[in-house]
Amino acid sequence: MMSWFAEESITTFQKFCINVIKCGPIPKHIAFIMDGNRRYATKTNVQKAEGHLKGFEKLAECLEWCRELGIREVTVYAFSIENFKRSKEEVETLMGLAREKFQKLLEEKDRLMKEGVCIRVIGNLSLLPEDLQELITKAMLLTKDNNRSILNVAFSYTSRDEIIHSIKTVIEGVTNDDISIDDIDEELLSSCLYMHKSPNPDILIRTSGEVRLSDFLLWQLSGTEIYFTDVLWPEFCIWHLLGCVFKYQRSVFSSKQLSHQKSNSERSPIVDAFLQKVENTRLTRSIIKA
Amino acid sequence: MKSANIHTFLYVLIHVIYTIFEWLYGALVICFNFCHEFLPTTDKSKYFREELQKITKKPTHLTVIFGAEEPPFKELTNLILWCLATQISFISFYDYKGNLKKHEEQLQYEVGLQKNETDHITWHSNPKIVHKNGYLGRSIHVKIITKEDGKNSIVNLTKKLAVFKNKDFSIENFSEMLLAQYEFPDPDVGLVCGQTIRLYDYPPWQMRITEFFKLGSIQGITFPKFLEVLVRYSKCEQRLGK
Repeated sequence: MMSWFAEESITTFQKFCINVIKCGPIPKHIAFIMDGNRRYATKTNVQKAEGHLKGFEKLAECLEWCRELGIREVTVYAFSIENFKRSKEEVETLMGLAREKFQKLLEEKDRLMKEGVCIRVIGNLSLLPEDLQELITKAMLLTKDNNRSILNVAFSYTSRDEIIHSIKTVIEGVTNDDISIDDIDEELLSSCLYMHKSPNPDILIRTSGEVRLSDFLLWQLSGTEIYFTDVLWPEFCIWHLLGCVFKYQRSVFSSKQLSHQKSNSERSPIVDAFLQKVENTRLTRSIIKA
Repeated sequence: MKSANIHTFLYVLIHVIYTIFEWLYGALVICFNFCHEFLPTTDKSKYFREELQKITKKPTHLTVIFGAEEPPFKELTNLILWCLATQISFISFYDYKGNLKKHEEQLQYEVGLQKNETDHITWHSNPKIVHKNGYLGRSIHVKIITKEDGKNSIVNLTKKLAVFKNKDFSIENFSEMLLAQYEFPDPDVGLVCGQTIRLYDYPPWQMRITEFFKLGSIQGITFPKFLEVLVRYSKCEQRLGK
């Protein structure tokens, strides 16, 4: 069965080119909308499930390239809440694939810990089958303290759902008198998102020629460089990735003067205590589940 | 040490070569556009008619996103007039620096000079204005968006809901509440000015299914280019998750 780690997917020449690109600024966080698995299946005359499997293999390879490049954090859009609208058969295939892959992930525990990979699944997990929720929570708990490289998997995710979740968390805080209405600001809403631990992505890549965001990370993409490419996800290769990083470097040169970084203002102790509480509830809930 | 030197050397080299290439390409495009201006007029109108026939689906709301560039009035006026001509009912301009908002009156004046007498333009500059319907001529709604309309409007709405400790609302309810302030439907087409696509804190809630197209410099936008975007948009197929 295909592993989460792609072995030797980089040739010596590619490695050389990676080292050349690494002389310049490298994004810290890169996001992917992995689109085109089904179109690839149609194109090559194979089953849809085969296309999705190819897509997963590509993800493992791509993670390898990112690690080699020194990109610490990767976020991928694996399954949208909207995708539940697909045929029952396809949804079940995808859930089965996810089950298999998270199982595999737990089997590869040693490797995962050795490489220091932290897996976070972001999304509305309550919409998923019970056993899959359990597997996901186990994987997250197991790797939560790893920090060498981070993989966020958006699964059962939409950005609007994430924003609404954050708003409701904040309103609950007000209802419980943990915070006051005046504490509500952009920063606080950002801190209550599923993705609150991650810096905003520097680059977003969407494959297969679509040019929209499809409800992915709308809140977090405020200053991101967005690249739309025509290649189908299973055909995405290291040169596409290097090309995007190259363009990113060019835009870093030209936009130095309008740096888009958030100012890191001091948070009030009350807000801090509230956020700690939210985090603790989340953790307790997942420990119970696992 | 030695191989590190080679890496750095090659790194600098490819960036320099690319810069030269980019510069040459830019010069070529200017030449091409210049020659294009001198096409016989009969050819042009035939070409436009053919292009217009290709457009099977039109955006309701077209939004233009500016980066570092200062939005020039002449091009903005053109865009509004082109939208009028192609029956696009909503157009908005987003300038994250907020300068455009300051000069809105001047833009209104310039557009007023250029439009036909029967054209009706509704400016959504103040949220409280009541808009009348029932004009005979062509009509369009124009709005200048600022950073305030983005995450901040979500923050403000959250505060309002927090006052009533109201937690019982869905994504759809929230959308409706935002729409009541925002007044514009979610944009279908986003024209992004600049060499790369970057959104500069564009209102996040609204851009869920917007199709984005890179424009390059706003100075270079011509009617054929505008048509080309509309043709490309009309080819976009939205599967909505399916």
